Amino acid sequence: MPNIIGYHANDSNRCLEFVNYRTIINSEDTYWLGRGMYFWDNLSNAKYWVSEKRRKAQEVTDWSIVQVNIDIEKLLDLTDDDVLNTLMKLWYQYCAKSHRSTKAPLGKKIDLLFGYFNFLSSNFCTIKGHGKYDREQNEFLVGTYVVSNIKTIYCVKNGTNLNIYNREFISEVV
Amino acid sequence: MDKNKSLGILESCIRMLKDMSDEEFAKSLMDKNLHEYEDSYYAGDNFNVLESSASDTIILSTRVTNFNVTFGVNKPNFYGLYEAKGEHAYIDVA
Repeated sequence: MPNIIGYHANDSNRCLEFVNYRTIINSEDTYWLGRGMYFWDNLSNAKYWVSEKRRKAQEVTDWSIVQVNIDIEKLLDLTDDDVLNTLMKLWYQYCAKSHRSTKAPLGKKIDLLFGYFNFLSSNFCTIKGHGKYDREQNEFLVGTYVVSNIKTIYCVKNGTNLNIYNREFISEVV
Repeated sequence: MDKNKSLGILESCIRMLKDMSDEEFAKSLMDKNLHEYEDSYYAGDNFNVLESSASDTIILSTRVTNFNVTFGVNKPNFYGLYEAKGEHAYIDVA
């Protein structure tokens, strides 16, 4: 089955529970891809996330990173414009039908559509998106069209264990 | 997943909505118990949650001023804080 390697950073206890007891670590990221467990596609992005979290949530001192394989057979790819435009069309249709405003954060739109359409939640287990971070362009890339502040992220929806496997505790970030 | 399959799934949802009457749609919303999402109002991203407790009151601030939002019997227009995270706030509208 097609799969990718993903990295998730969190406090060490949660990471251990995730590896040892298969406890899914869901978050409600309204401004990202909605409710689910989030994974970066490379280790350095996970480390960067830890540095940001450490800056904002200073009460947590022990951070760790876990590595997994994620089955992407049932992937909703929001980096594909055709898919994105069709999802947007569905959202507008849904809003027109329910007489609600189309304005909402992305994660909320996704969770609402996934909540309404069982057909969506059963066919799309993982969502892929690109996030833009306010980081300085890497010096090596200055003056080119290649950028370093766009990060790929995967959100495994529905708290399912079925498409996450080969869990490894790979590092403790001191 | 094959891209055409993804598009097919999304388009079938669009067709399903188009084929559904307003009454059927309203009933399906009730059945799925999604009203908490439907009633939710996006308050904007200029809000900051200053205090939040188990009581009926939360205190939000904007860049301009601070104000209280009380929800419950006294202010039926606001009955709950859907989510408060960082600088973003959502308020359920009755």
